[in-house]
Amino acid sequence: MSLAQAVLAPADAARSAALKVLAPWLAPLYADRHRRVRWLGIVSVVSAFALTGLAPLWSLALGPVLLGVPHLASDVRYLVVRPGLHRHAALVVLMGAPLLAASFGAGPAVGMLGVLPALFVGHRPRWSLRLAAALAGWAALSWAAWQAPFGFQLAFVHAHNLIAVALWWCFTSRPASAAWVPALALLGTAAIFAGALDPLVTASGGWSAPWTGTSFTEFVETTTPAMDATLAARLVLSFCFLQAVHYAVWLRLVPDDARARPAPRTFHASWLALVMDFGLAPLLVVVALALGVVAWGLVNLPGARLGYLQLAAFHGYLELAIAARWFVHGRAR
Amino acid sequence: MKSPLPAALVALVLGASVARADVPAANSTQCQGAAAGSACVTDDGAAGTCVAQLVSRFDYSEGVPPKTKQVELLLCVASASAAQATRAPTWLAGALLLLVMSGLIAVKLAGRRRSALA
Repeated sequence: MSLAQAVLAPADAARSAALKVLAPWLAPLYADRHRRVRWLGIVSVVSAFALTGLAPLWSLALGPVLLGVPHLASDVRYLVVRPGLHRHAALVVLMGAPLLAASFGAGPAVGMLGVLPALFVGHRPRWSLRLAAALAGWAALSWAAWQAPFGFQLAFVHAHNLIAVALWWCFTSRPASAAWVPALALLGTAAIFAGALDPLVTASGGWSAPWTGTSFTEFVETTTPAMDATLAARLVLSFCFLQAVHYAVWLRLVPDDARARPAPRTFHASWLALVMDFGLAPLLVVVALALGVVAWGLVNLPGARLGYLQLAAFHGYLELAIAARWFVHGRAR
Repeated sequence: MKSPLPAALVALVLGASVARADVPAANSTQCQGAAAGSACVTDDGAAGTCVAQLVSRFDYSEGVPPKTKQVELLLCVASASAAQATRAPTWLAGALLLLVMSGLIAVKLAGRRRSALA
C-alpha cells in the first residue's frame, strides 16, 4: 500500500460509509454528472451566500489561507496542463514571464502582457473579428492598467471572480438548467448590493471579528473605490460571496466536469490523477506550499493572507489570458 | 457550438469601470504592517517614510452606516532622504512588452521556416 493510499484510506472509508447512508436521498442527484454539478453549484452558491451573511470576515480571512493554493493548482491544472499548453515552450516562457512578474509585484500592465502570447502562440495567424475584438480589449485594458494601476487592480480583483464563473460555463457543453448556478451568483450579488445581508451580518455580529486580525474598515479601504460608505461595505460583502463561489468553481465544479469518467471517484484516485497531471515532485511542492500557507496562518493570519494574495497575483491574468484564447480560438485548442 | 458567454465575458471585463481609490487615507496602504520609520513609496511614486499621523476613519464594527473615529495611522510621507524603496520600475512593462513581441515574432518566423521546409 502506498503512503498516499494509507493516508487517504480513512477519508475514503468515511466517505464511502456516508454515501451508503445518504444514498437513498443523494443517489438521484449524484448519479448523473450534469445534475450533480448543477446541484453542487447551487449548494455552493447558497452556502457562499449564507457564509457571507454569518461570518464574512472569517470567510475573507480564512478562505485564501485554506483554499487559496489548492485553487491556484486547479486553475493551472485545468487551464494549462490538461489542454497541454505547458508543452508549448514559447507559450510557457512568453506568458509565464509577465505572470510571474505580476506575482513579484510588477504592475497590472505587466500582467496584462500575458494575454498576447495566449492569443497567438500555437495558432497560425488568421485575422478574425474575434481576434480584433480581443486585441482591442487587451489594448483598452492595458491602457487602463497603465494609467490607473491601483484602480485597475481594484476592478480586476472583483471582476476575476466572475471570470471564473464564465470560464466554468464555457468549460463544457451543459444543459440550460445549469444556468441556475451563474444566475444565482448574480442574484446573490444583486441582493447583497440591495442590502439583503446587512441585517444578517448585524445579527451574527459579523461586522467585527478581532481574531482574524483584520476589520471591515481594512477591507473597505483596500478593496473598494471611493463610494458611499454603506455601498462600499456591500461591495466587500459581494467580494466575499463571489470569492467563495470562485473557490467552489475551481475546487468542485470544474474538476467534476473535467473528470474522464462521469461517476465520482475516491480521494486516492483523485490523488493519482493529480500525480498524472502534475508529476509527483511538482505536486509535492504544491502540497508543501499549501500546508506552508496554512502553517503561516496559524502564526500570523493577516500576514499569511497578504502573502498568499501576492503569490496569487498571477492567476487573474492567467484566467483572463485563457478566456481570451478560448474566445478567439475556441476551448482547449 | 460556440457559446455566447465568451463574448459576454469580454464585454464584462471591458465594461468594468476603473475604480477611483481614495477611500483609504492617502498614502496609507503602503505602510500597512510596516513599522514607523520604514521606507515606502508614496501614492505619487516618490520615496518616503512611514510616519504615524491622526486620521479620520470609518468604523464598521457596529454595522452600516459606519461611525467615524480618529485613529493613529502610519502614512507614507515623501522624504528626499528616505531609503530608496523597491517598486517595479516603469520601464519593466515596456521591456517585457518588447520581450513578448520579439518572442512572438521569433515563434512565428520559426513556424514559417518549418512550414517552408516541410
